[in-house]
Amino acid sequence: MHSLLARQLKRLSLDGEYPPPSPEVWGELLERISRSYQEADQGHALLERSLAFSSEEMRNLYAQLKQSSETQLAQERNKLQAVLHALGDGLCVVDAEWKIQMMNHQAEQLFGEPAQALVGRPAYRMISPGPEEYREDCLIIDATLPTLSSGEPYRTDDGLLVTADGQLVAISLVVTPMISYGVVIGAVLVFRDITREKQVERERQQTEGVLRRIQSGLSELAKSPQIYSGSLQDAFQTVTRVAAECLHTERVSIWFFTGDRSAIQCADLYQLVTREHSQGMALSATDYPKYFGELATERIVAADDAQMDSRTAEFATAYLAPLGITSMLDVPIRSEGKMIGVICHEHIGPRRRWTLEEQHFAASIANTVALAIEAADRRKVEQALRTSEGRLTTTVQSTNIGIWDWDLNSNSVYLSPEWKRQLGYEDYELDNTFQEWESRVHPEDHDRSLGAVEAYLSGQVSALEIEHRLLHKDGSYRWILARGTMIKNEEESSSRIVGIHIDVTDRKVAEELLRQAKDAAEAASRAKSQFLANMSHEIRTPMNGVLGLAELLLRCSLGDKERHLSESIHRSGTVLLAIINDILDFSKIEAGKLQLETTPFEVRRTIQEAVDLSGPAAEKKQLKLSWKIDDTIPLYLLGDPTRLRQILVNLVGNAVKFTERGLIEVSVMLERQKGEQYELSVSVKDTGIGISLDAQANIFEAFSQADGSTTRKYGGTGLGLAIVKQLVILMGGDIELQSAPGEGARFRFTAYFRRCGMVQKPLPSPATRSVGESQPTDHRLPGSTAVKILLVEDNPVNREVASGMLETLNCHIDTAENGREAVAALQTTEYALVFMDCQMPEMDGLTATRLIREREANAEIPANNTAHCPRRRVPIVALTAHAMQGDRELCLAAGMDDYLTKPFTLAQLEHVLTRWLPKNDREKREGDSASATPSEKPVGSDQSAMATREGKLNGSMVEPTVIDQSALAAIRALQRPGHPDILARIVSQYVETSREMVERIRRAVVSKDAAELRASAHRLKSSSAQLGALDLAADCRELE
Amino acid sequence: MIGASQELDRAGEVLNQFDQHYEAACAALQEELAKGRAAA
Repeated sequence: MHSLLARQLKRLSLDGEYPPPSPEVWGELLERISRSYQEADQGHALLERSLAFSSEEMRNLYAQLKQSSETQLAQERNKLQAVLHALGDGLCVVDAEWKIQMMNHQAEQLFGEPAQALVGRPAYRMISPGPEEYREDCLIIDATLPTLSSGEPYRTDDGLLVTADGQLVAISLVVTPMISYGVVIGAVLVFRDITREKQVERERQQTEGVLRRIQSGLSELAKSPQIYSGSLQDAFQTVTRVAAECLHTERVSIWFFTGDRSAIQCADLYQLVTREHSQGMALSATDYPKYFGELATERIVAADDAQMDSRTAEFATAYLAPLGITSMLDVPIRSEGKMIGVICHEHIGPRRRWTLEEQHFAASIANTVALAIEAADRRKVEQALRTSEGRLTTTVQSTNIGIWDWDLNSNSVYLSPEWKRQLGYEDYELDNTFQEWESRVHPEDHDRSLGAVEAYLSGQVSALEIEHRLLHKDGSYRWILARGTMIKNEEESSSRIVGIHIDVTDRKVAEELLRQAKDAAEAASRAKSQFLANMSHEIRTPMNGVLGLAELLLRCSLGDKERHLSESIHRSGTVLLAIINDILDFSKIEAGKLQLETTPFEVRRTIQEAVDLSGPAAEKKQLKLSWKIDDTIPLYLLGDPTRLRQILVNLVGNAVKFTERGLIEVSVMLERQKGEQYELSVSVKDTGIGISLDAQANIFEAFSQADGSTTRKYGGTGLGLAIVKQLVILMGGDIELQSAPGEGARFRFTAYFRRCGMVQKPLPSPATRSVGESQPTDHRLPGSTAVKILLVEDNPVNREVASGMLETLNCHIDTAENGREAVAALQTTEYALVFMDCQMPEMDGLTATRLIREREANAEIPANNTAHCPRRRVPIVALTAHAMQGDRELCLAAGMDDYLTKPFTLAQLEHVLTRWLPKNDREKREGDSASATPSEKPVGSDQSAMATREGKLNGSMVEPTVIDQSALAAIRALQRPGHPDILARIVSQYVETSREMVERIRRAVVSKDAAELRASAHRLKSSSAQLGALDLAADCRELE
Repeated sequence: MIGASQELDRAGEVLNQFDQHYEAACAALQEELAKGRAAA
C-alpha cells in the first residue's frame, strides 16, 4: 500500500485489513483519496514547474559556467603559452612514442626549425641526454632516453642537441614523464643551451690544470736545492726546465744584459722535446732595436702572434718562422730594483693566448731567477765572510792580538787568552772581569783611560782608542793599544763593546827613540840655522871691511892693473855679501821665522828704487831698463816694502844678468781690488837667453839654476828665486814664468797689500830722485860747511868708526853716548839727521826716540808757521846690531824712520844720507864735495893707509888669527889728513873701555847676573868685532 | 830658570877662553899701535 494511502487510512482509523464500515467512511475515504490525488497533482505541477525553472536555471548556469570555463581556459592557455615562451629554456612535449607534440619558441630557435616542421618527429633524432650515448647511424637511439614509465624525472647536463644544420649544441636536459591513470602518455622535455657554460667549464678545467702545474712547478722550484745552491748554471737549468714543463712551452731561455746594456746574452736555453740545454747566444740592441726598446719599458711581452706582433716581429724572418715559433712570452728579470735580463718562453704550434695565470707564473719564474742570483751573491758574500773570518782568526792568532768583549747590560767581560798572555798570564790565571783590566792600568794612565771609556759611552767621541800601560805579571808595564766598537742590538736592548788589545811597547819605545832623534835633529837643524845666521852675520863684519877698503881703494889713483884688481875685490865682495844675505834669508824662511812687516810705504818709490839698483849694471851692458806703474794703484799701501824691493831687485838683477842685448821692462798693474785688499801684478820681462822648459820645472827650488853651465857662467847660489817665491807666497801671491830658450823670459808675480788709510800726506820721505838719475858712486871729501849729524852710540869704538865714516862723507858729527844725552842735544841743536843706537845704558835708543817725537809734537809751533809747515821732524835712523825681524818694527813704532844694520859700509851710510837728508842739505853736502878739487882728496892718505896696511900685514908679528887685519885696515882707511891717528884713538878707547867691560863680564859670571852679562858681552862683542878681534867677539857672542 | 842657570855655568867655562882671547887681542892691538907709532 502506498504510504500516502496508508497515512489516509490511518487518519480514518482504517487499515488495509478491514474495509471501511460505512459508506460515509467510504466517502470519507474516497474524498480523502481524491484530495490526495489533487494534492499529488498540485505537487506534481509544482514540481514540474520547479523542474522547468530549475532546468532553465541550470541551462543558464551551464551556459554561464561554460562560457566562464572557456574564458578561463583560454586565459590559462595564454598564461601557459606566455610562461612557456618566457621560460627561456626550450620546452618540448612528446607523446609516449617520443614524437614531438608541441614546443615553445625557444625550442624552435634551438632546433633551428619551426614547430610545424618538428611536430610529429621523434625527439631522439635531435636530442641526446649525453655524449656517451651518441651513435653515428642514429644521432640519438631510443635506448638513450630513460624509461618514462618509472615516472621519475630525468636530468642531465651533458645532453646534446642536433640543430637543423647539423651542429651539435651542448644542452642541459630535464625529462618529466606524463602519466595518466597509470599509463605513460608522453613527456615534457625542457632543455637549455649550455655551450657557454661548457666552454667556461672547459676553460676552468684548463685553468685548474695550468694552476696545478704552476703550483707543482713553483713547489718544485721552492724545494729545489739547485736554485739556492749558489751555482747559477744549475739554478738556470732548473728554472728553464720547470718553466717549459709547467707551461708546456717548447723553448724557455734566460738572457742577461751585458754591462753596457747593448746586448743580451743567453745564460741557458732549454728545449722541451730534446730536453737539452744550451748557452752563449747573444742578441744586440742594434740588430733588434724595437725589441730592446720594449725591454727598456720593463713590461711583460705577451705576444700571442709573435711573428706579427710589432714587439717581436723583428725575429720573425730569421728566427721565429724557421723554428716554427708562433707565440712568445718574455718577462723581465729584476734584481735590486733594476732590470737585469729577461726570461723568454717560445711556443711552437698553433698560436697561443697567454693567460694571466701563465704570465703571473712566468713572472714568478723570473723572480726565482733573481732569487737564484741573489742567493749566489749571498753565497759569495758568505764565503768571503767565512774566508775573512778565517783570515781574521788566523791573523788574530798569529799577530798576538788580544780580544775583549764587555757586555754593558750584564757587565760581564770576556778577555781572550791572548789578552791575558800579553800580560804574562795563562788563561786560567785571570778572571774575566772589568776589574782585572782596571786594576792593572798604570796610575798615570788610569784617569785618562777611564775618561776615554766614559767619553765613548756618552757619545762625546766616536771611537774608543786608548794607549795605556798595563801591569805585566813580571812587574813591568807594557804599552797596550786598546780599540773598541759599540755593538747595539735594538731588539734586545743590549749593548756591548767589543775590541782588541795590541801590545805596542816596542813601537812606543821606538817612538820615544824616534822622538829623541827628531828632537836632536830639530835641535841640530836649529843649531844649523842659528849657525848659518850667526856665521852670515859674523862674516858680514869683515866683508864690510873688505868692501869698504875696496871702495876706498878705488877712489885712489891706481894703475890699470891695481884698479882692475881692486874692482875685482869689490865685485867679489859684493857677490859674497849677496850670497851671505841670501843664506841668511833662506835660513830664516826655512826656520819659518821670516815674517813680513805691515807698514805704510810709497809704492812707486819702492819700485823705482828697486829698479834703479840695477841701473848701472844695465847701463854698462847698454840695456834699456824701463818701468811703468798703473795709475790706479794708490800712492801708499800697507805691506813690506823691504821684501817687495828684494823680490824686484832679484828679478831685475837676474834679467840684467842674463840679457846681453835688448831691454828689460818692469810693469806693475793693479790686478784687482776687493775691499781693503789690493792685488798687484808685477812682471819683469827681458830679451835674454831664456830658460828651457826642463829648467823651468824646478827654477824656484832652492839651490836650483837653469843648469850647471848657468852657475859656471853667471854665478849665484840658486837661492835667489827660491827666496823670491817664498816671499811672494808670504805676500799671498804666486809667481809664474814664461820663457823659451833664446826668447827671453817673463817673470810675473802677484802680491797682496792693504789700503793705507792712515797716510794723509807723504811719509817722512827721503829726498826724491828723478827716474834715471844715476846714483852717486863717488865719495867726496867734506867741505867747510858740513851737514850736522848727531851720532848716538855708547860703544866708543863703534862711535869712532861711524864718526870716521860720516866725516869722510862730509858730515859734521856731534856724538852722544846714550839716549839721555841725545835728547838733551836735540833740545839745543838742530840736526839734519840722527843715527841712534838701540841698546845703550841709561836710556836706550827707542826710549830716546819716543821722547824726541813727543817733544816735537808738543813743541810750540811758531806764530808765523801754518798747518802746512809743521815743525821740522828730524829723521832718526836706527843703528841695530842684528837685522832681526821685529827690530825694524820696534824702531819704526818708536818713531824712527829707517834703520842701518851694524856693521855697515860707507856706501850704505851714504845711501841712508842720500835718502833722508833734506834736499838743500844734500845739495850743500854734495856741492861742498863737488867744490873740492881732486887734489884735495885724501888720496895720499888713503894710499898711504893702504900701503901702510900692506906693509904692516907683510911685516906683522901679530898672530893673524888674533886680529883681523882687514878690520884694522878699514879703520885706517877712515883716517883723514891732519887728524889724529884714528886707529890709535880707537884702539886706545877700546883698551880703556874694554877693561871695565871685561871686569863686568867676570863679575856677572860669578854672580850669575844674566842681564849684566848679556849687556856687557854685547857691548864688548861689538867693539871687538869692529877691531877685528874675532875670537874674542865670538866668545862675547856666546856669553851674550 | 834651570836652563838659565845651566847657561851661566856654561858661561864660566867660556870665561877662561874669553880671558885668553882678550889678553891676546889687547896685546895684538898694542903691538899694532906700537908699530904705528914707530912708522910715524
